[in-house]
Amino acid sequence: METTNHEYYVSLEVAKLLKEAGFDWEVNFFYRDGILRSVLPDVLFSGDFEDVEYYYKHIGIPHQSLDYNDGSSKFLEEYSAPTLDVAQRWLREVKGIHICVKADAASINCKYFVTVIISDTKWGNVQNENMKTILFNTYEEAQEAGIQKCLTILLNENK
Amino acid sequence: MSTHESYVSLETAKLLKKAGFYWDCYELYEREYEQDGRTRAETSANWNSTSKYYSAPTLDVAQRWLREVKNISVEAKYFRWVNRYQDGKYTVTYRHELWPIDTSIIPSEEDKFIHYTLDCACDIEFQTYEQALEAGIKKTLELILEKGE
Repeated sequence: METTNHEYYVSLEVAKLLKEAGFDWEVNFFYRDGILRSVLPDVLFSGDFEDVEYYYKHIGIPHQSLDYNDGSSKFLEEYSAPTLDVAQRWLREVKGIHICVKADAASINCKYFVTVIISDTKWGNVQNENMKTILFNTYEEAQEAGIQKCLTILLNENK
Repeated sequence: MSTHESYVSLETAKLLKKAGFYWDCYELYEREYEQDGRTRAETSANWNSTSKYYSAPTLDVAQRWLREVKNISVEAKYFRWVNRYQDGKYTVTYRHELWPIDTSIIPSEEDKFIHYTLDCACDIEFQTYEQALEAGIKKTLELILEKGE
């Protein structure tokens, strides 16, 4: 999901998978009631007064990153919403899984993007997961699909 | 701000400004105090529109701008190899690759030039993804400015 700052955030579905997989980094955006929200001032002051009041009262400082997955919120259905790049970085640094999004050189003028997933751990099924057969229209679609696939396999292996 | 975001260096911010980066962002370098590091503003804006500041986007926003506005895809690639001199342990490094994305059917001569030039750019190895990405962004901006766009 894109915001006005040219940043792309994970979808609600991926935010839920991230929470299940243990994502605990502090972020500026989060989902509540299925809606993407933020503590950034110019997003806050755009009209969501309930949030303004809540965050001033409980945190004091808007504009602060938080771990929305830590369970301390009064709202049950709250999920951290990192940018796609931060989610990708978390998988790389915490789980040792590398997602490479590439312009597809085989398509006319590199029009499409593909995703390659490599693990530097003994993470069996994703040792070298190549999604080259799936062409995405945008870099972000390929990136999100790669993240979602990694999380799904990771969670299935832990079951 | 999220502590896990990586921002462009001052040097890259200056190149971005020269190349015409105009997207709004929260972080900036003040020209007068540029060695003091980045500053975070209360709101996002196009800081490059005045001579006092340099916009400092995150690496991924700079990468996105090059992709969407300049049609060049900067990619950081993962490499893992066995280091025979260190007990055969795996070493992980990153390199960057730059690909022109051309929306026309036939690539222009300029794109061919860029593609040819960019092929030489992926030999250097970096310790981290972010270092490889920033170097790729910088290299692309230098090529764009060299070409006089």
